[in-house]
Amino acid sequence: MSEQSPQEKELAELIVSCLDLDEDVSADEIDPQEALFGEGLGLDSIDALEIALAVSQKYGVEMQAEDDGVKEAFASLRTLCEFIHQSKAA
Amino acid sequence: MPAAGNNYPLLQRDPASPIVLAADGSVVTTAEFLCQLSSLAKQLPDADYVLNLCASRYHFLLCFCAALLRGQSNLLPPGRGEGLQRELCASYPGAYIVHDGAPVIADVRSQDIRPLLAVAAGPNRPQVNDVPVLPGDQLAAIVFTSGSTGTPSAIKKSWHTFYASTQLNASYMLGEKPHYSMLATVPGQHMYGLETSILLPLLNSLTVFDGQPLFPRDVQQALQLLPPPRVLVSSPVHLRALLSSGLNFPKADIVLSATAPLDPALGKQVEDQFAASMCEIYGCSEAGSLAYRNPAVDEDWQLFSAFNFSADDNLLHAAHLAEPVALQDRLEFTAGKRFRLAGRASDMVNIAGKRGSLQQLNQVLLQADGVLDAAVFIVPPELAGARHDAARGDCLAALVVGEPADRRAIAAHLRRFVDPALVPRHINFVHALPRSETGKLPRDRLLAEFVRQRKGG
Repeated sequence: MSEQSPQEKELAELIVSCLDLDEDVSADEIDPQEALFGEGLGLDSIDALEIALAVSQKYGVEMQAEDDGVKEAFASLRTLCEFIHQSKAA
Repeated sequence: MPAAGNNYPLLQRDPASPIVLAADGSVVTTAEFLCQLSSLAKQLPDADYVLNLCASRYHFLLCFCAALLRGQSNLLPPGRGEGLQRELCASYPGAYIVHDGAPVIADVRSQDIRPLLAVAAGPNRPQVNDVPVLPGDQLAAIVFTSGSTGTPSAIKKSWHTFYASTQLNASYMLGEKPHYSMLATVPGQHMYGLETSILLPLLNSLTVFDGQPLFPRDVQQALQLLPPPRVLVSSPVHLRALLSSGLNFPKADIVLSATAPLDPALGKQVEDQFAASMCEIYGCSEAGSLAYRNPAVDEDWQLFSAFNFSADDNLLHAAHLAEPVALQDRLEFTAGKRFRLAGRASDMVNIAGKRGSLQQLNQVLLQADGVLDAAVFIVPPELAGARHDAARGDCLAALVVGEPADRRAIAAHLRRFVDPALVPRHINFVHALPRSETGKLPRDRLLAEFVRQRKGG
């Protein structure tokens, strides 16, 4: 597994906490390049909704399916982290 | 009351009325829909059954109706997993898959319908003036849901059942106003989504939004796009997310909620935020929607008039159903057709609108590589952790005996056969299950072991 950047670590902690995963998966166990949905962590669409809410509360970044790149953003911890920080900068 | 022996129209709408509104603002009128439908129906292969995996609500609607015109039955599985696809296609020989880009299994006939629609929209499209009529006893769909015995049960729906239940649903869900535009956050394949976002628009002058928006901002924009009066078809987990977003939403005259109990306080907040009247629906795949209430006002549910519950055999009866239905919940009648839910009558679990039986989940879990023994059980809310989301439904846990102790491999195995929502949130490995001397697994022992595991014991 590749190393989490500090930003990725922070986001991993947010995901684990908002989905109440902490006793099954710890934040530092999430491979930044592993799929969040489907075969990887195996999250479902309601989990995506929870993550989007937590992200908007913590980072002030509103996620929308209509936006280019939101679907891709949910591919992995790394892509989600990049999406958030690019949106914040924009 | 519609009867099986008669014929019923596929559609009851003004030809000029828009039936679908897409996210880009374009509309499909009833007349255009009938043209596309007729063309698509001619291009579908011969078969008795079709597995409809279309993700777009409009594509799903088109394929659903095209199959009906061809006398084919729509197979509506509880999920899209490859294991499910394979299982269904094996049980219904000759079945083919229609989709609009979803991943499908390779060894079964499948058809991406998008290129077929391009032809249908071309200059040579047929003119259709007559509304198709279907025999009432035509097998329109087979809905699959987990049976209490563990084997998935196939629930057969004839067109007259759909026709009658849609008339009933229209009167309870929509009241007198005929021209709503509808936004649904639930999929059309699910029985509640099918009854509301597919069947109501066919048999009423509703305009339904093509998409299935998930994020609050998408729901807000879709609602803005839809002309009032509006009806929002949703579920507790989606409604809670909409409210916690802090966004302001356009007025929705009616908000429907089903799939899990709606917290009365949340129901009240929804009414305030959307300036809506809140209508919570109770139903099941076997009977469809069958009762309603406003949770902020009523604890009691009101049974739809067409249903009768018989306390003698605990069965729900209705003229439009093929057979009486045994419900998964115990109903306690307070007066006339008013009732309360008094606990579950079976081993069924309900998570985010997906239903499964503990026994079936257990069987699937035991088939995973390296699993020697396992128990799936429901964790009561007080043990489920502070952040467990009651709007989502039951919290599931599993204790597993086996090697290797690979939680992800087990979860991946489960997802091949059951909906991801039903995969236990907590999977813990133990040396042995806490069986009693007789080999039984008392619930209190399972929960005690669960608590010990969660404490890191």
